[in-house]
Amino acid sequence: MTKIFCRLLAVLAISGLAACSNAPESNPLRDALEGGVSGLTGGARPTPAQVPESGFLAVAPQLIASAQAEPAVGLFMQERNTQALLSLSGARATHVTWLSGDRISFTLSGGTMLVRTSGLGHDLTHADFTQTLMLIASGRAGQTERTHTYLTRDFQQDRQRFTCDVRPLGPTQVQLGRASRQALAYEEACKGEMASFTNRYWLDTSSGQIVQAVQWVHPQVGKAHLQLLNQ
Amino acid sequence: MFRCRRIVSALALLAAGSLGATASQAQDFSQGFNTFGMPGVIDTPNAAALPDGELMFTGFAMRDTWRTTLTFQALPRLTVALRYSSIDDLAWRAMRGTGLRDRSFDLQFQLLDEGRYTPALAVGLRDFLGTGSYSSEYVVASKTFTPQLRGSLGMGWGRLATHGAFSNPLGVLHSGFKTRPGGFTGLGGRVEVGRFFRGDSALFASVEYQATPELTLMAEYSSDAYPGEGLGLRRKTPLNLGFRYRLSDSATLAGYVIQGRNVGLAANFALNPRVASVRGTQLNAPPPVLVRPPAPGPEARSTDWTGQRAQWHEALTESWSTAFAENGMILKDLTLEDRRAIIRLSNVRHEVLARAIGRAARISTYGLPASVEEIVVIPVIDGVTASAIVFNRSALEAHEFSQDGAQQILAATRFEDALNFPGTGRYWQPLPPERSRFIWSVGPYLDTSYFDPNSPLRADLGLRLDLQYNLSENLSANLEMRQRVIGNIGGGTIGPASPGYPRVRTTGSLYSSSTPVVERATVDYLFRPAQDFYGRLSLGMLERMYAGASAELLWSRVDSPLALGVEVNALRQRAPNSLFGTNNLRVNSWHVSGYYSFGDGFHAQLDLGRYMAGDMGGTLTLEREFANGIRVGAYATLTDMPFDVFGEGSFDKGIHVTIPIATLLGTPTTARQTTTINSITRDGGARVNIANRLYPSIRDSREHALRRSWEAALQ
Repeated sequence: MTKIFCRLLAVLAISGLAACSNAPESNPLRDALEGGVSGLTGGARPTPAQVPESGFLAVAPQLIASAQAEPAVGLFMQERNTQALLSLSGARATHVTWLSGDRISFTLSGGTMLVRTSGLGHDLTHADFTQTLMLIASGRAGQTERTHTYLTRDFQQDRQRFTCDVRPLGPTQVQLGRASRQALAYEEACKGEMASFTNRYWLDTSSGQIVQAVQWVHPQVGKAHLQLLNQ
Repeated sequence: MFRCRRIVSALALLAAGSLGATASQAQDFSQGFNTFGMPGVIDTPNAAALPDGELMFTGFAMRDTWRTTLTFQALPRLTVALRYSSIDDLAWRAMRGTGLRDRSFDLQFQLLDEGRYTPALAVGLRDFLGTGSYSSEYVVASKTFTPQLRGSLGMGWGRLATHGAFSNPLGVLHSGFKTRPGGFTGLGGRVEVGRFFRGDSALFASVEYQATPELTLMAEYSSDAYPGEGLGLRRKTPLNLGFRYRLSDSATLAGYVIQGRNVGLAANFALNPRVASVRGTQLNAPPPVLVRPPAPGPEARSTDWTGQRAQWHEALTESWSTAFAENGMILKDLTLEDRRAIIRLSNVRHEVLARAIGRAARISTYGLPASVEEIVVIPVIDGVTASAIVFNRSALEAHEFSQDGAQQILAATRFEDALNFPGTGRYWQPLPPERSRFIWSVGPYLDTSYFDPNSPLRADLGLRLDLQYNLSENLSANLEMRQRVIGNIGGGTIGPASPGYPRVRTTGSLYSSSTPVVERATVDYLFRPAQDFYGRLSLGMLERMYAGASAELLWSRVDSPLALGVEVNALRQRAPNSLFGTNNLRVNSWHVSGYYSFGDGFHAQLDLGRYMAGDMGGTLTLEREFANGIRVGAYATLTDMPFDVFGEGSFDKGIHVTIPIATLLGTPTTARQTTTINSITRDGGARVNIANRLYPSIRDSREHALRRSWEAALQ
């Protein structure tokens, strides 16, 4: 009986043993433990937020204050109950990539139109919103096609199509950190096989940029609230 | 006959009752499985196919009977299964006092898809290879009448014609169909073609009604009377009832009342390698490509920096090393040319190589002089330097965020032999100076053994110590030691010998030990004698049972689906109770191997040569690999050792399943778990286990493999 007990103790000890080694990343157990604990840690975990009437959740003022004067993007993800301040990772003519403190990135176009996410687990590898952007730019209502691309577990493209109704919601004031801007709000209601969702955009009429947006990413991710800060 | 009619009308009533149900949910009978783990209802099959690539595990238990089945949808229309079961066989019980433990193989082929008005049609063989307790064949048709209701009607032979049997209609074709030969050929384990579709036949029928998206109710009229089993004696009715309840996308529970008096339960777990995992893959975001200022053409970019090449080299190596490490890679070395950079790396985290090389290319855009247009990434895998992936920097810049970005970048990418580039040595590949020559690790190990006739699951858990000393990238000394802590592998009895042949494997159980064992102690040398050629020499304790020398030469072109190899081994059997000692058994073996990749992940391997017991023959291995690294394969070895000398099972055969840990955890890691289930180990068709055979090392870096998972290059 004692022998069995000793063996059980040994088994417990071994299973709990995160193997040690001097080889880089030779241990899947450690990889799993480290990699599995991933969430946005760019800011303090907030209490569940109420979505305000405008439909937009801004990041906490103290987080915005920490951005100093650097250009940044404020991120709020309600379904994941997390917020972060994203800093500039790379920019090119049409696409700007923003990165959180724990390496989750959002590639945005035309201000805050979401093109790609990376590091969320269920990432959007590409969003085609050309038609939506054209309607917003022209200030009209209308129907558009939107295409989201995801990767399957087998690394094949999973292309999801949505039919969307875009309509202007009228002029409104938006608060971007310390700055306040005059904007036109738009709503994009989409239906597709994968899901139905509603995105919102705020177009800064003076700069022509979408300075603030709420966009749906994936059923397992939910929506991302994004806003340009210090720009 | 009267009884049969009553049941058919009962089924019809049940069907009519459910026709009124509203068609709200889309039909989803895809996770249907029967007590044999095959597409079906309760004991009877239906004509459905599982989603392509689906792997399914089914456990079923009923009074005095249980079955565990591993099922694989190998092709869109072909379902295969391996089963281990405990059968309450009365004759066996009278002889041995216990139930019969038996393995069986099934396959089902869907001949016709379901049409709007036509049913799906399938033909199946149950237990076509084993000793035949479940031996039966069937043809079955299934039709979905409403999104919630599916009915099936079939005809069975063999065990599926043990109730309501009538004379075989195939007897019209040939009178030979009218009688079914009994027993099995020789020592079992052979395909019993002479029995297929022979003897009496009988009809079976079933209905499945999907009451809610989770709950399916089922009823069937079964022609399986459980002949010869205790259950058969207690049989009250051929009507079976049951339900399936879906707990999640991957887990389903089922309950049955079989034969009107026995309660059965089943649990089913399904994994589809082709469907996105629930958790997704947790990855750190890679840096986006840094775009150079525009230039009129690649030649227009200045090469003035080359005057300070050494400083550039030093600065880049330093800054990239950290970035590579953060992205799960080790930067081994860097060669800077005027318009080309050559980066050698090893992948330590990513389960797909394409992701590692894609990240390396993107990282390198940070800091590379603007005149460098070609980025050559050379992965080093297990000490072998094989492929060079040549990226076009302008294409990376242009297409990173395009909808078909990965494919557009691929179109501008070349695949070559790494030997074409400076820095790749044929016989000597120096280690990067800062890299430690000595690598060690201590960790747990888990060994499993399945379907042993006496114990269906055996496992060992213990500690494992790995030591590696590298004299160069391609020459190393390796030691693996193990100490079992708890477990029950081995310790069984020694298997019967094959008369006239040495005991090369049947003494295997003597080698399990509760004291420390040297699993492997080798010196390994890997070299590149010529373009497209690879060589390996291994010396020492090659595996738990054998020591000796092993030499291998492989021809494989980076862009060719065909590879050819030859391997020669001079071996001595190790002494079971000694760390480094050997006994007197000397064996030699050699093989010529052909490897072929058919595309879409189908691989074949043919080995011809001399096996360890001196028997001559060949092994055919067929494998399906998914782009994420999940592999399912089967092999069979036929040699000149007569079936009756080989012993039970007649010849060696088995299946293997490899699952990258990353696909289970949703966390990137290169670790893989391979499970092999083979027939009872005998001395015929035995090969020595070599830890680092060449083809498995380089296969992932061949062009066909990289192309299949190329989308990961931008992940």
